[in-house]
Amino acid sequence: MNTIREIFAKLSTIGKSGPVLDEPQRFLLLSIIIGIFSGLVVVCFHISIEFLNWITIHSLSPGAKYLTPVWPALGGVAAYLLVFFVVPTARGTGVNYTKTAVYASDGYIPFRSVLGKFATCTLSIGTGNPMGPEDPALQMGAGIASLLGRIFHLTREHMRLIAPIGAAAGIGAAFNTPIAAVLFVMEEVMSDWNAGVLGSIVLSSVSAVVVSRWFLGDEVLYQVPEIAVGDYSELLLYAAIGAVGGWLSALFCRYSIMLRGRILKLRERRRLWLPAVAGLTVGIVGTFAPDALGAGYQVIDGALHDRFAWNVLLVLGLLKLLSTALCFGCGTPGGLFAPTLFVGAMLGGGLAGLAQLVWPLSTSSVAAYVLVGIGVFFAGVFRAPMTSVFMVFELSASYVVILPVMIANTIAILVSRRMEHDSVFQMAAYQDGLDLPSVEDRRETPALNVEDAMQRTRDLVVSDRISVAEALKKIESSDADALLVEVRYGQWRWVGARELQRAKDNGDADSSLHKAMKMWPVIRTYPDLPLDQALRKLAIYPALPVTSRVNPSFLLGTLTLADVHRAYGITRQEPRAEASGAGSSSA
Amino acid sequence: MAKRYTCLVCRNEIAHPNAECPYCKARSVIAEGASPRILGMVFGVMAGVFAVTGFYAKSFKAERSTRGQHHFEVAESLLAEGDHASAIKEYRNALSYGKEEPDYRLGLARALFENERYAETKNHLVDLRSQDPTSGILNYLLAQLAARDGLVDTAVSYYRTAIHGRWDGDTEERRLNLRLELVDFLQASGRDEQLAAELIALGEIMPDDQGIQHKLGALMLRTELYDRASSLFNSLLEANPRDHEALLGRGEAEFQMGNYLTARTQYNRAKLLRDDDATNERIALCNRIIELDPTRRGISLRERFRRSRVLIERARSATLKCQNPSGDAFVGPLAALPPDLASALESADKALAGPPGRATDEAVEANTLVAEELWNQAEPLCSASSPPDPPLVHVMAKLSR
Repeated sequence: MNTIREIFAKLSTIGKSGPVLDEPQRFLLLSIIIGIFSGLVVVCFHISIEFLNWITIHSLSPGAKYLTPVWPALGGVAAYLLVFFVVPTARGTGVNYTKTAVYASDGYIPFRSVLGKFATCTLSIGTGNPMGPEDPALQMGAGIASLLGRIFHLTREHMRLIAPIGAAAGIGAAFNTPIAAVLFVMEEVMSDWNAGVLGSIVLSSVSAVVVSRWFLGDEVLYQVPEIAVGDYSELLLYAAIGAVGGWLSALFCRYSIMLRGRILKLRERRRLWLPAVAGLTVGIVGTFAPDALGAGYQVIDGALHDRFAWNVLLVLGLLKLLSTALCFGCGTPGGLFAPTLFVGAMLGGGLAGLAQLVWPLSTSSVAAYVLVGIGVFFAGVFRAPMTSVFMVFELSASYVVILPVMIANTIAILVSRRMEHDSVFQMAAYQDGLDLPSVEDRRETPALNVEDAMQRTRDLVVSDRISVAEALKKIESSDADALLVEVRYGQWRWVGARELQRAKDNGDADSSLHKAMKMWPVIRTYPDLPLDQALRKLAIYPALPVTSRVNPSFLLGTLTLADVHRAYGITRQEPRAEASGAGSSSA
Repeated sequence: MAKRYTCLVCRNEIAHPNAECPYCKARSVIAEGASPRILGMVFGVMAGVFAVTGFYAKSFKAERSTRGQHHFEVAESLLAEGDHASAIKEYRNALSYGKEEPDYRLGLARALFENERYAETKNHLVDLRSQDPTSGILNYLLAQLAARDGLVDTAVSYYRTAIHGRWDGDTEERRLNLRLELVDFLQASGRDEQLAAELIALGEIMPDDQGIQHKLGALMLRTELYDRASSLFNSLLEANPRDHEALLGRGEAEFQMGNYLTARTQYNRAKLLRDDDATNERIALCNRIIELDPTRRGISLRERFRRSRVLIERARSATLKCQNPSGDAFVGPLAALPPDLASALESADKALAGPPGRATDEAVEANTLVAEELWNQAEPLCSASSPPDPPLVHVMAKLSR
């Protein structure tokens, strides 16, 4: 009973000026609340799309199929008008919007954009436009998180982190895959694997998925049949799918962004009708190939169950690819997640069928190829390798296909990156004038470590047995202000030039350092530490001894502020000449 | 004391919560030290959204279920009418409203099977079976697929799971029909041992249908379950003594078990109903066997002794015929034959040499042993398809039993 009272007492103090729950605890609690709210909103979003789909595309009688193009056109233009006149903040991709909030506006996302995304994407996706609900769900989750963060008065530092937490909740609830959601946010939104907010992201994602399953059931997006992977020689086929998928994904990114760029150059009023044109085109395609309409989860399910012939799969994939590029370019609201999976599935299944015609050895089940195709195209378009692998694992709930997926995805990313340096989101961001960080950028500019800056000499190292005059002579010959003195095994002191000069002036020039000088202790550093950490120590000490971790008396080199500057290219000074003895034991 | 307000973007203090931030122009202004009711409000709003979402989801599910059920019913009727392609389309529509509804997926699988789209059928069935491994219908359809692909062991395994699986409606009749289907499949696949096992199991739950009983009796004869076949045909004859097929079946079963007198009786009764060459041949064979058999009860010791000598003679003659398939009697030296055969022939010649001795039980037994020994050596040399002396073969088989 007391425990319950304590919990209530703690909860009731949230929001007061002197809260019992500290900021990290509030943050974790908030993560769950964000997950629940995001899950609820995404459930409503999902239902709204379905309802609209039923009363538009699905309500057409077989005799009225020629009216199919009307719905996507109407939906596209209505959504775009809404964006244009009512909620301009609902424009663009959710990932970039959320990233902008994280990196440029301290996690601030207006709640209006959540409502706007909800309404506009319901209109466009529900009427059969070939876009997906995951990316908008991500933005809605981030918007809800931002709102709750403001209500809970989080600090600026935490406000920056709150949007990705909501994003994970949104995408997790929409796609029903909590692990993939977490990884996607880490790769695409945070662009950082070292984010300390991982625990909160997981909490919110799981909460959102629980809420989603509570209302919509445990239904996964696709029923993945039993998968069998054939001979190891077949890995060559998977690699080939990876190469083709990577090539196609790069082409998709290039031309859809090119089309978007051209359209963005048009006057805004002219652009108003383009979603209608795109919707009309999609509708005409959908009249003859209804499977190319909408998000297409059911069609992917069919592909997994070997419903289509290989040539039908390739045609469907191509139609989806073109229609998605058209809608994305024209600004039809919606995400790229679902169409990417669709195209990948069709590509994988189609190439599998083709392979079975010509491959002399036994081949895996079609479902394995479809799953590999999904991962390949996703990896190629979004450059999120971890997400692409774990997403397939989560969808199939089987490790069987993981090896082919890893091989194919790696090849897809290499090929796609060779052709187009940036992912589709980055390209869109550059087009919108945004310079947002990416995991790949960070990977290309690795952090410097101590070993990259330290001097592998003993120029700044002296024994405490030498005289003050000798020490002074040594310090004058270097560009440093202090010397490092090893007094005992692994224990270091430092002495400054001014102190040495003062001792000399006092007549202690011939006395040894340990008798004449008061020396200050200095802590060791290690070559593998980030330079940032060493820099903090250099704020206190003029020089640092760099030693081995296993043998503290084994000096590997020294580090001064000048060395750090040199490592970052701030100064143009030549490094001190290598001296003998560095790296040898000072003991 | 007046509340303090802070710009969320630049954290500068500003005058009014609705004001635009004079520093960064943002409108995201919050108050420091907000009301303690915030948490209550948040949970209150959450409860409200929960309720709205619940209502919305309930309506959605109800509508989805109605639509799915409608398509499912249409699909079922189309499937019953034999319009498989349209049924598939409707099942797919139903499935789009309820991906996890097993009936919809099963219906689709059935329609796909009828439409000969076996690869997709199998995927759906395997999916469903992973959720419900004991379902009778799923295992039955998978058995049919495996049988079609020539995977006999897999098919038998699925059939057996289907037989013992869960069925709706008249379970016993379904199980019986499945067993009969399995029996047919095993017969067609040439799996006689498994067929025999299945027939024994079926014998425990023998159906009333006489046609099926006749069929099973014939299969029992084929799988050498003669005693079961005999009792089955006997029960059929108890119900209808003029059942020609049962008479022939029982005759054959008794004949194979070495009960030639009973077999002849059955064949004779069958002949009375329908006189045909096959029956007459069988009766003639029975007669010849009965006349040759020295172990037959009711004959005198002298007659038994005579028959035992005839047995040796005919065994010797058959041996020589088998040794020389051209038909001519063997005329070469005995040393040219395999040693055991030569020895057996020598014993036979010795037993037949000179006048027949006294008819005693020991003499009869000794002659029979000589004949048996000779036949044992000769039988591998003889063609199974055209034995030189059919009555001799049957009598020797009976003696070895």
